[in-house]
Amino acid sequence: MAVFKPHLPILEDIKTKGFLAALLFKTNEAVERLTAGLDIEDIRGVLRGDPAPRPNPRVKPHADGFWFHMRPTYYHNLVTGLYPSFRLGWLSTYFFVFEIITGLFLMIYYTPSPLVAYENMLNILSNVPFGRLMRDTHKLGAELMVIVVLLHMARTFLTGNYKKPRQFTWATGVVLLFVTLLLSFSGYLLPWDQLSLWAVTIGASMVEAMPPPAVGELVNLVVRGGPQFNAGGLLRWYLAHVLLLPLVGIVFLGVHYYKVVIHGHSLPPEAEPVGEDTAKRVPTDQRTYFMPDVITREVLYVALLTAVVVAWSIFSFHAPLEPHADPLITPLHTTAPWYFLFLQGMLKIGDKVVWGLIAPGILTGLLIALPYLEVGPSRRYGDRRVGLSVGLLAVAVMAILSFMGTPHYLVSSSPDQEIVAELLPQTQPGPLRESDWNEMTAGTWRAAEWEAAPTATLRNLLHLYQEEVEHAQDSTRCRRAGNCLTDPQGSMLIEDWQDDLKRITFRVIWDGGPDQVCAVGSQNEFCQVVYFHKNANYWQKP
Amino acid sequence: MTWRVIVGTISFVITMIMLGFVAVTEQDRMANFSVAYEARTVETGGALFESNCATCHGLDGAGVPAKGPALNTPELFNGARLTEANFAGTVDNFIRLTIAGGRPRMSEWARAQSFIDPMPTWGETYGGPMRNDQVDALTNYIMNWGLAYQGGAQPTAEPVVGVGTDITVELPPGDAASGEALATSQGCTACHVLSATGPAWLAASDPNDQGIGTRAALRLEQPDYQGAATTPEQYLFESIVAPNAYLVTDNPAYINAATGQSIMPATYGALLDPQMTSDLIAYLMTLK
Repeated sequence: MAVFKPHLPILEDIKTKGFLAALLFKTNEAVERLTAGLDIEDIRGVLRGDPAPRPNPRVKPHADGFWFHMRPTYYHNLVTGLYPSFRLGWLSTYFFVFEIITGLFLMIYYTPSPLVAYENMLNILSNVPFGRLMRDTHKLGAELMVIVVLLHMARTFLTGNYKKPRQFTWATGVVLLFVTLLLSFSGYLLPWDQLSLWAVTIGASMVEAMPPPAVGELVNLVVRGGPQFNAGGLLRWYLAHVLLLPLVGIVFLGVHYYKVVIHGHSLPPEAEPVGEDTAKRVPTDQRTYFMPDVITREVLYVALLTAVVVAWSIFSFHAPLEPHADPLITPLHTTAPWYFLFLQGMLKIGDKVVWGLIAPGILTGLLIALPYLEVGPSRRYGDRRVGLSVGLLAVAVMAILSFMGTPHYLVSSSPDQEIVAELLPQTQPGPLRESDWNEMTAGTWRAAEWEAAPTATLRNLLHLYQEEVEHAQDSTRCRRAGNCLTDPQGSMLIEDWQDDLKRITFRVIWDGGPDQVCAVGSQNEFCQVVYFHKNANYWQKP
Repeated sequence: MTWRVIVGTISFVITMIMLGFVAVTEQDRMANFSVAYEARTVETGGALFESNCATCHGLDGAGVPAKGPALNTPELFNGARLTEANFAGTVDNFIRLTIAGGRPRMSEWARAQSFIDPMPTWGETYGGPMRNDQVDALTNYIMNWGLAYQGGAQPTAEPVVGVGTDITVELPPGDAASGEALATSQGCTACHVLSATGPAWLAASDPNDQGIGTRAALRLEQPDYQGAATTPEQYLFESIVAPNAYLVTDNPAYINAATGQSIMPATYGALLDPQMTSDLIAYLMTLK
């Protein structure tokens, strides 16, 4: 008698059915377990769009599987199309996952230390296959995620879905909005370039205003990891970016999803009687089953969007990489990320405490409390004139505040510097660096005589230069700031400096200018020097 | 339904094709980025040089007398500076280390150039203000000057018509100041600073406290003098263009044991034109 008898049922199967049939049977069984109820033939039926067999195996994953039990088994016919949801919630989830995947790839090549973080970026760009694509798609995905989440919120507001009984779903959504914004924002600091440092510096300077001063100072220390952003601060923001915020996001995403399923997808406002919530009572003849209709739509959206994001990143969108972070050099025209421009705009209105802290605090409170403020029972557009008007007004105010946050509004820098900054921006390559190096003929070129320049590149540059010089002489902007220049003149000195290297001096003079050229401390003159290398290749971007 | 599956599948295939495109072109892209980034560090280095180094080394790297040596010069790239500093590494490393660590102890050579201050320490590793990537950028910028000297090219644009080895020719009047510059640019000071490698010119480095100008006059009067010179100026002329006319035997290290000739190159008659020779002699005569 054998002490140990192997029990391998597959051997019995092979004996009775033959090898191929037994293998197919086992594979089918494995697929059925993985999908929690659908075998291969069922999946093919779903993909072909066959009518559901009876009993319907396609509802089994919703009951037995983890992922599908978070999704409803069927939807009302009226909510499966583009309107009313535009699938923005699904797309938000998609971007969340997309960012996790690309982010994990980038994490492999990143060390959160100011000593090497920037070098890591260079390594990702110059030495990691698919490195640039991952960086670009991660950045692009982050921007798109902010847009999609904001649109999702706007849509929920417009169709009144946040009203009773979905107030809590709305509150978790507000938390997810903040998680999204903070995730995107915290990612800014990690490359440790000028953009990172100064965008985050602006953000952190707001919390410093928190009264009383002792608290503000403490919070500032916590956020910056010291009096200055450095190793400590970078590590904190890195951990927030890769650990704290994603965790909070995952928890609230789960709650948000669960609440959506519990309450059902609400119908378009005009489709149900006022004050009634019929989302959970879908008549049998109005049902669209998740499988196959909704899932194919969702997968289609994901496939299309992935193709768009990848194509965009390969052919046009490239995440910026500015020069190494330098606390001693503040670039001209530093701005917060676009979704925080409204905060920068509010800070320009007045007091840091009122506009940088109290006002955003009130806005956040209002946003969460919205379901309790707009308490009318009707979700129909016609019955919500006040609510919708206030909402649209808020969007308009946000747009205006965001414009006020840009350098176009109330930034009084000297017009002479603005002229040169237009050709030679400090935060991006700009027209000069993207010009053809070979056509930068050595010599002194005057902007006013741009037509006489020997090469097309020079003519273009000098023409642009001359336009800016004329703006500095007379434009609404300089008139408003009261700093228009009298008789400004621009010139550009190009020297062949080293092999493959040119030295270019921009010189703007006004009121006649000084006698000496670009001497230290001279009046009525602005000089800026830039070095330009043949192989710098700025148009190819990082 | 069917079209959704078809469009979705096509999108997926397109994504895969695009990723394949990236995979195929990625090596080139990475190489291009490395070249471009290297070039951009030269630009950054130029700006850093202008704001931090130009006061002492000159904006064009030509050096500033008594402040800092020339960097835009073949000696930095042909190894002469390295030899003088007894440095066994590469030029690139020499520049990087000099910037990063500075030269807190001024070398004999630097003292001989009468530089007022030693090279400061710049790298943050050694307590200076610059990050490592800034030191790298500066190094790349300075190394970029070296491209012009590759292949043994000399900075002088016109070929020099040599003065020859006949010390009786009439020389134009000399200018001691430009002679001093020539002493550096022609590499004289590479040897004539330490008496271990060549007779030092300065009185301070002579045991009898006599500069080369004084010594030239004394040599003429020595009984064993075999050269053709009749004046101190001619003696210096002869020492430059015909170093083997009379061998000073003070130090055996000055004579190549294998050939019995002076270690002073006998080629300066071809390298220096009459004006340069006269300037050099005028300068040497000031070193009494």
